Amino acid sequence: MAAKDDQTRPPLAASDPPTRVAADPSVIVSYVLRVGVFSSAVLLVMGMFFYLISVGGRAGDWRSVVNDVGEHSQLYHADQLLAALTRFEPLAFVELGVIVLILTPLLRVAATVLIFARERDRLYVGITLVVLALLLLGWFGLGGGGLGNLKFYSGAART
Amino acid sequence: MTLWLFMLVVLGAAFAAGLVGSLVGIGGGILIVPLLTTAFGIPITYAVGASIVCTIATSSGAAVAYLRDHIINLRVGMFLELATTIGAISGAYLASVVNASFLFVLFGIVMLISASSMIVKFGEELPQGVVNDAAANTLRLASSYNDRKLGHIAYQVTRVPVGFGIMYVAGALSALLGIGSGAFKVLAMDTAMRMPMKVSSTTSNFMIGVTAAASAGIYLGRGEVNPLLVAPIALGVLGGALLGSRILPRLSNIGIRKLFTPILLLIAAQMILKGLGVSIFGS
Repeated sequence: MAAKDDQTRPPLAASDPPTRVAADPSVIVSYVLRVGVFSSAVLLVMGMFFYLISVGGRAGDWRSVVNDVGEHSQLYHADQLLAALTRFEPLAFVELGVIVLILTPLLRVAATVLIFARERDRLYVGITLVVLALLLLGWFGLGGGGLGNLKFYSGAART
Repeated sequence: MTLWLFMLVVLGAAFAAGLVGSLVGIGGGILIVPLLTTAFGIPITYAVGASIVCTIATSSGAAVAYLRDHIINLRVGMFLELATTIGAISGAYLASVVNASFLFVLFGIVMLISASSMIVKFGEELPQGVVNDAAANTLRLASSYNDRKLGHIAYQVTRVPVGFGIMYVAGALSALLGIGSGAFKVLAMDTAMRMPMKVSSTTSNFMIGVTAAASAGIYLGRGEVNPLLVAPIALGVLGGALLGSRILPRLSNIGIRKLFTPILLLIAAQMILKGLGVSIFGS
């Protein structure tokens, strides 16, 4: 029925949304950032909520709790993270939220490469590719170690 | 203090840092780190990780709206990110060679001098008589933005090589000292390249996330991130940055400059004191 309505209406009525939105690089990059920020925030809220609920009444002085998490706990390596998530360990959600947050700028640069490529803007494809390559070099090359090496602390070993 | 109250205090402070940072184009670590180290006695290793996360959250949170509203100059941002990422990576590997104390004092003084140039043009709403230089033409950097108060503003960009050079230094500093990168970015675009203040602060905001991510890979591999600190900071900063990015279009360029200048002085003071070994700001 909706399709019928569309056909009967004049195709270029002012109220009609344009059928093909002109590619606006800024808006597309904005969307990439929004997805990254939103998913990170959801993960962080879930993690913190689960954590605060789980410690609940046991939560004493903040200093002991924060230091305890810092000093007496294990870190999730990238390969342990998935298992910890399936066990609903609160701080695994926090860790994933932080990883998503940190990866968002990298994702944003990668998206910008594609956008300039679609515009056939060779100069800026080149510039953006070099930026992306340097970022990846910082992450995975020259002793950076990358994600697998991140020293995240979690409360997993505490209980 | 209970854990819940601590979380709320950190959340609130992070909200304020995200709000201010998103308006003036800085990471907000400058406001969070002293609180963590001085007021709460958090070890500096956690504070550095928190500061990096704070910067990335401010940048990504605010850039959503700034990109959608077309205030950010995407080409200027991408071109200058070339300089900041090269700077960030070289800075991370220079860290063991150079004398950080000397650099803190040197660039603190550079910032103080820059602050005086800010004060000189305190009343300037838009830069006048700016003409593209050769690099700006080749790179097609001139652009426009819609100002709620002034209407459609077309602007040109000048002294691109100088801006590029300052951006390299900004990237290296953020990796070497973990501070001041956003402030130098705003200065490069506003003072050297003579772009409108709003475009400078939002484009700086856009860029600091990438600079921080460049060194985050190197530093987080060595350092420590405490989830109980980072989660409330990231959430608070995201909230503050979202609010800030709604407020900025309503402010004038002069208003943002007036907010930026005292923060510049604060960063300069913090850097000089740190270099001289005075640790009243912690870290």
